[in-house]
Amino acid sequence: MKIQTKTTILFTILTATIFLILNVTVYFFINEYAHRDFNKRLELRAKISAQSQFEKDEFSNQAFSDIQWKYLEKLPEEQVFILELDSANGNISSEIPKALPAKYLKEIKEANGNTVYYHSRYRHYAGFTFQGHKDSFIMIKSATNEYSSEMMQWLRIIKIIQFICAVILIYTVGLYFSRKTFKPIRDIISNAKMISGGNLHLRLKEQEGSDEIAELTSTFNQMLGKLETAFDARNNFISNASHELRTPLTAIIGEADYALSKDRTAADYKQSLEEIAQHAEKLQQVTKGLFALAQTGFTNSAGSWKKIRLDQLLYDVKESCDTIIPNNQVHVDIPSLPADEELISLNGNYELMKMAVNNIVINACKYSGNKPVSLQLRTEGNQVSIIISDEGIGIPEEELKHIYEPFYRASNSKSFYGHGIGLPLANNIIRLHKGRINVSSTVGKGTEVTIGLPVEAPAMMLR
Amino acid sequence: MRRQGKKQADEEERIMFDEITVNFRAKEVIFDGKPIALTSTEFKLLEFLLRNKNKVVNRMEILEKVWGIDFNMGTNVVDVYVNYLRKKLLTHTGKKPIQTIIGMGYMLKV
Repeated sequence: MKIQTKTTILFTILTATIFLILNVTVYFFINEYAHRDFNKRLELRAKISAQSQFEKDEFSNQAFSDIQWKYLEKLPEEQVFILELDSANGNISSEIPKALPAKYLKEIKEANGNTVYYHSRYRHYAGFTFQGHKDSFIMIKSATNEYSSEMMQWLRIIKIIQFICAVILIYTVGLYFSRKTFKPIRDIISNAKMISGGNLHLRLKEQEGSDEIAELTSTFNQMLGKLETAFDARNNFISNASHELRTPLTAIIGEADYALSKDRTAADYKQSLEEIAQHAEKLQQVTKGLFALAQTGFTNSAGSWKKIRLDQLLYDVKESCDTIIPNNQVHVDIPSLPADEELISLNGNYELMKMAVNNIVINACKYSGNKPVSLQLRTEGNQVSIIISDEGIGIPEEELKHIYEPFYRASNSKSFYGHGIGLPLANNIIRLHKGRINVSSTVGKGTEVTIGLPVEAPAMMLR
Repeated sequence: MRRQGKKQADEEERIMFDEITVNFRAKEVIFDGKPIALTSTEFKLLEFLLRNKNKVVNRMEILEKVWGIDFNMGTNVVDVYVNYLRKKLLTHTGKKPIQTIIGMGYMLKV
């Protein structure tokens, strides 16, 4: 069952129960009050009747009842029962009317002159014993409580209709509100369904405000960002590996094929084997470098965030470039270091950052045919910039806006081996660190990539 | 205390000075049982100064040995790095073992 339905039902049951309890209580108390009121009036009339009975000697019974008839409000369908009691054994000596249950009469006798009430469905009775001149009597007045029974019946009907209407209304309103509440969640679900391994660059629409839904959306998007990075890191590794490993492998296979094509002298074999060993060694080194580069894609160290020193990062990028592209001309250029090292430190994932900068530097080497590449670090207030500039082929201006799209490759890059993974990955990583990449390029002259990163406020870090 | 005796034998990979242990193989600096976090360049600088302890080394020597030739550094990089290192050692140990020899360079006095 959907949470939406559950919430609605729960809400309806809860509200309906409260409503029911309220209604029943109100009905019960009104009913009770109506009965008590009627009983009082009945008792009063019974008392007067008894009085008339008592005064029998002076007035005629008929005369008294005339007065009563005239001056007191007669109750509907009023009846009076006067039962004589045998003074000897207290039994009722007169005939007992069918309407009166024996139990009730017994109660009256035991009540010692106090009024005892009884009611059948519509008819109310008030009775008591009283002492006449010589005998005891039971005086019972009875009447129907027409007015209030009718009222109670109406009240009952109204209450039942009211309750049914209320439940329907509560359910409808509840359904509406739970729909409204869960709409963003359903939106998220339908959006999330569209995101799969093939289009990990898609994101949920960020919600406005700072409620749980907005938080959920941004958390989900952050998770997607990390996932995409991990995915791309893997692709990046495969892409780099297939490229960097192909050259030495081809050389090894070629050399071996050449040596095996016919019988050769021992010196020839030795030379071939030396050649193979040389290429294999290079292969080993490249593999090592690639693994260091792609470490985050394969280990779970992607989660470790700590303080990164950016100057050290550049030195390390240079070092890993040296293993992968031995004849590179990358120059680390840090014109001035701030006295406070916090100005070149930021919180982040070292391996990821290194991979991002490495990708850009390797691209710079690749697309310039190993011309000099400058790797600079500049600080400006709370902003640090890493600037990578090359003398490569450049990127056509109208294509600059596409360069962060996965698998996009500029039109002039076809003669270079690549998959269009490195820069989108770097962009992702930099975005994870709240930074920005800015690329400016002139075709044929070179490209300058600027990575702007915010560092933590020095005042905060000084404590 | 047992380490005191071994110190001489392990000198190539572990140097102790001012109660600070520098392990060259593990690239660790330990004071009072706790590691002091240094970047690898800072460590290289400390290692170079330690290998030349009680000797004055000038800025060019440091630049060449610690940074190498591929690094187009500003002239103040050595001074800045010595200051980073000094600051870290000072905050963690309360000591200032690196001395500036005006006009010549730096010296780590043990």
